[in-house]
Amino acid sequence: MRGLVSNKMRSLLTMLGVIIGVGSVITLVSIGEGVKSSISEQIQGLGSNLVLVTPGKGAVGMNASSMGAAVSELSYEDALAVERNSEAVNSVAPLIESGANVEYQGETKATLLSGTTESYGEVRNSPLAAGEFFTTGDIRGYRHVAVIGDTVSRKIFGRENPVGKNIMLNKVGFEVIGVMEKKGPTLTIDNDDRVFIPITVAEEMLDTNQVNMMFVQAGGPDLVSTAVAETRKIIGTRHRKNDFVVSEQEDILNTFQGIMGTLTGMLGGIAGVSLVVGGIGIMNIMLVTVTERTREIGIRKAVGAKKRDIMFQFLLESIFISALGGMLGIAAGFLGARLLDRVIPRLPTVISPWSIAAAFIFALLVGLFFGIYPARKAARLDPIQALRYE
Amino acid sequence: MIIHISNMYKFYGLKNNRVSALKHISLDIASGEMLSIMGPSGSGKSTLMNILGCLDRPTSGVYEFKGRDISNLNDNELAVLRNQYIGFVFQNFNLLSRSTALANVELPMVYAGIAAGKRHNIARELLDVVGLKDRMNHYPNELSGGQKQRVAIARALVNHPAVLLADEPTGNLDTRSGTEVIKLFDTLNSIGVTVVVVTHDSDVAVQTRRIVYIRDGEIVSDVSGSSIKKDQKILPYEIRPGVLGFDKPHEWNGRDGF
Repeated sequence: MRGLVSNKMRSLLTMLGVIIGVGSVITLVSIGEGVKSSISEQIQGLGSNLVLVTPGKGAVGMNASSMGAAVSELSYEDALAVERNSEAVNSVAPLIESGANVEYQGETKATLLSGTTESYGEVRNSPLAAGEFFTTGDIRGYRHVAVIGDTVSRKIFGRENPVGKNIMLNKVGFEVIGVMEKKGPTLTIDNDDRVFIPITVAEEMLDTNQVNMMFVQAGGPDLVSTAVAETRKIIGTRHRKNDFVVSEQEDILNTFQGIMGTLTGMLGGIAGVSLVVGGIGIMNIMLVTVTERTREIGIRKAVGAKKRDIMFQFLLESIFISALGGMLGIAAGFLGARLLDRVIPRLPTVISPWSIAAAFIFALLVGLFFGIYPARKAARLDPIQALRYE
Repeated sequence: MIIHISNMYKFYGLKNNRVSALKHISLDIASGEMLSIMGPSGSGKSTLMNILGCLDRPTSGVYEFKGRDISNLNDNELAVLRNQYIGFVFQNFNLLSRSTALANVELPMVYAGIAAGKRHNIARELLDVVGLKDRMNHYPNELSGGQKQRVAIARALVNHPAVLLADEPTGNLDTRSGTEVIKLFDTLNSIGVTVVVVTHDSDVAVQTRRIVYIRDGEIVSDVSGSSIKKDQKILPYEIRPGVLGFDKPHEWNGRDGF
């Protein structure tokens, strides 16, 4: 051990591999965990007791419609039928979405246009910051009224109060009757860069009756599975084929968490490679140390050290290097995650205890594994030759 | 007999170009003896010393250490033997440079599994015996050659060895320190320690009671007795009888078997 202290610089450089390895495992995993928890929060923030209906047969949350193309027809009438006929369903908010240009007094902005019903605010748990949401009457009356998101409000109106103002959506005139409360971004997606209009107006303007998705809210947590079954039955009866997907919030959450878990594992694995490289560094320096201390080994053997005594001594040193490097690496990981939070505030990091434990234990194992060869070499030295070594 | 060697050979290398380092060696060393093995460099005396010290094995012949044949012991068994029964003193001291005198003396006891507290006590006592009481916490580079060699001797004594093997112990010392070291051996021998000194220096050899002369791997003479004159200079420090049972000659290293 005294050898390590007297070669501070060399020991530190050797440890650096482990420090960087452990630090990057912790930092990269913290990114993955951060993304996972922010997406989870967002999915849970969609609203409570939600059931999502999307057209097509793709996997949950990743089907063709969410990629931008409607492959089968899900309509406003389907939504109305579910709302009317299911006991378990509280309300339904269908969405027709499209890109659109919003214009006000010469200011133009590209945004996401959503045609929906009066239930949207309640179902999606999205209160208004100002004005009010459109009503059933507005929908039935095909009235050109719009509720805008926070970003649109700031970009187009600045500090002006938008309520009561007239805007153009794809060159069609609308009156702004409300502004949504700010939701905040999900990673790079701005949830406030949106404009809502009555679904009937959207059908007319976009010349479609294909609904991109439907949010169905069950009457309570215990009614969610009934709502799923009934929704499936009602739309199935109407379509006479299974060309839509009904999924619970829980499923979507699990799917995303599964994907993110895999990604996080991959990130950790890639960082783990640098730990292995660090281990090779340890082996390298331990081999040098064994050569340098050949005489010492000879002396120890002459006075009665057995092979396993020498082996143990050098193994202990390499494990000590990796343990110390591992601890410094944990500190480096915390620092790295903190730094990332500073540099990219949109990418939240969450340091998970398991990544710390796994990285540290892996570092120890690396130290043990790469210490074996040099330690064996030391233990096998012939005492006579070792004593004569200059 | 502590050591009984008969008709021993040591070869190096493979069959076709093998070199014989030792030929037809027969040597008996009794407990309590003090002898020197002399010979020019290349005579095979170092090889003999390595075999005597159980660092190496003979190619053929008999080597009995305390009545037991050691030629087929494995490395670990030899390590235990060295630890328990043999003390080494080398020409270049072979101390651990990063350890204090005390830690160096303790080293064999570490491998013997003796508890730290007891190790400290024994090591302190032995450093006292060799006159280095006030140098215990010095590192080897803070000690003179003579002092280093005395640390090495203290280290060689810690496990009460049956034999103290010294390989050119005065080779790196000035005359005065060399004389002191030999006097120390003499004193240790007088209280029962068996001492074997390997040297090419006849001034050193004449101070022992028996001289074995070796040349080209063969013993050419084995003289003992009064024909060897002794220098009676007094050591600059005293060895107190009673320390570690040094006052009981022939008994303190009389452990049974191994």
